[in-house]
Amino acid sequence: MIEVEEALDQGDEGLSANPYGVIAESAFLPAPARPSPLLERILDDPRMHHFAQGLLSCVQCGICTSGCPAARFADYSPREISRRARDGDETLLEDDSVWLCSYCYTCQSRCPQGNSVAVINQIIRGMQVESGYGLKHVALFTAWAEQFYATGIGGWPHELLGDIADVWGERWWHLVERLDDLREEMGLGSLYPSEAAIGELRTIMDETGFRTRLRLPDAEARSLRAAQAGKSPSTER
Amino acid sequence: MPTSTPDIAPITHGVELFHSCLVSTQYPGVEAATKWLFEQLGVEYVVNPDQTCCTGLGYYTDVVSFPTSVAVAARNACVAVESGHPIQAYLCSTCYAVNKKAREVLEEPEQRQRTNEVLSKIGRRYDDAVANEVRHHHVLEILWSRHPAIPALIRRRLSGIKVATHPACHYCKVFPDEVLGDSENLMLPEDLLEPAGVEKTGYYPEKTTHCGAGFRQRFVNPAMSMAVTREKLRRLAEQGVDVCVHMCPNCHVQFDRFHDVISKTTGEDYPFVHLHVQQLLALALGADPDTVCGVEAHSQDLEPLLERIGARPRVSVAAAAAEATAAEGAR
Repeated sequence: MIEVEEALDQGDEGLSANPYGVIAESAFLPAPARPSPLLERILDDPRMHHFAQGLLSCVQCGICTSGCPAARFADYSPREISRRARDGDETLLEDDSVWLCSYCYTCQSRCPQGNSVAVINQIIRGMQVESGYGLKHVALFTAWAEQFYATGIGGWPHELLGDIADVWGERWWHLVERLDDLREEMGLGSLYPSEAAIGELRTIMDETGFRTRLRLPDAEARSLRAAQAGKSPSTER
Repeated sequence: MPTSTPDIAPITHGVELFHSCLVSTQYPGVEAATKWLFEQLGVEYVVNPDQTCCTGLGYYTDVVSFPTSVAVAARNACVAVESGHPIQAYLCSTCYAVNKKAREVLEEPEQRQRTNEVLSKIGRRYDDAVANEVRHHHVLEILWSRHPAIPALIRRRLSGIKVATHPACHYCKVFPDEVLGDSENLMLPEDLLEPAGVEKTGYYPEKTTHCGAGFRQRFVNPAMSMAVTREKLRRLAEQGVDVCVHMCPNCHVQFDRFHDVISKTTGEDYPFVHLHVQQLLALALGADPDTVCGVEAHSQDLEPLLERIGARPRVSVAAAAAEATAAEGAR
């Protein structure tokens, strides 16, 4: 080992022989590049633009998990989702736990770094639907999608309520039967938007790939079938 | 308890009461009560038949993509501005969040251009003129802007009625910085009702916990959904509240329709009812419980509360018995 004074005298040449010098130099090397297509895709989503720095600076404090209802009652951790998204962990693309989020946004509103796991979840779910993996998770809700496409309003279609309607019991069925009359008695207008508005809505949905994304049957075939069945969504028992 | 909700400039005209699918199909009285309140408080508004639903339930069950949702919101903004009623007033907190999120994203030129390519197919355009004019408010914000007029309009005192707020997540947590008041302890609903003499609850444990609906969770993970709702019902019962007030129809569905079901299953007593803020406020201002508040659509029995606040004729047991005896004697 050379003396410090000697090393200083010898300039750079001396420093390179100093083991501390070697460590110091390596400490300034850039971190190895870890290309992460998934992270890039998440950060590119317009919904993430406000939260990009937040995700990149997540310190894994866990405040998201402490307030999360799904973390409390199910096997789910928003903190883990954040870490895996930051790492570009591609297994997220076939992970069913992202479907446990309730979109209550408690994680987002309390995150001290400005991250949003709710938004990350929604982006990943979208990727899963588009790849086909997540279709099983949305299959039940295509009833909603078809009703919206047909009528321009959402609501919970009765096909979706199923057992829930039975639990809600007679008072619920009473409302279903009375809804139109009730609305009239209160002087409320039509449940549905104008025909022109529904037409524009369908164009928007077609143009943004609504049906193809969900692998829904051709709209014309579907609407023909619905017309033949004389369907009135929302109010039909 | 002092009022903590900050004042905002009065909103008196140019309001579009934005149709909510869940209000329309589950609690139409919420819409009727809101209209009635707007009239009482001098808020000029329209319901626009060219407005479509916001996509919220589909967007949050992941069957509607973000680009679809943004384009629908952009179209609804165009329609509102075109009609001269650019202040979109939301009955539902998810409508509020979805439209506001779209507005934020449409500020990015690239996103706006993409959306306008879609809108060009229906001959519409979301441009600066639309962006600068359209405004997004929860209905409660509009009502709050007129709150100085409320005290003089009270017709039924709600003295002795303890009220707690269930703060809607999509109002409080999606844009927490834009909430009227504290997003972790929203007092807007209780402050609106204060002139009627209600007892306010303020903060309580689990106040910010969501309703349990969780969009898809109610349908696919009922155990988790019900566990959350039960937790909240227990906490509200601990506070001894008479009414839990709501500002989002999806929360209202979760609580009103499952309240008695959960109570029966668990054997726990939750001795209170659920109403929308507008319904309770309208009742305090003298509205009819049926033709204005539409209480028939509720799953819970609201009659005892309505009697208590003088919205139904009070029938005493003695009078009812005397009536029955008289009827018997006449036979």
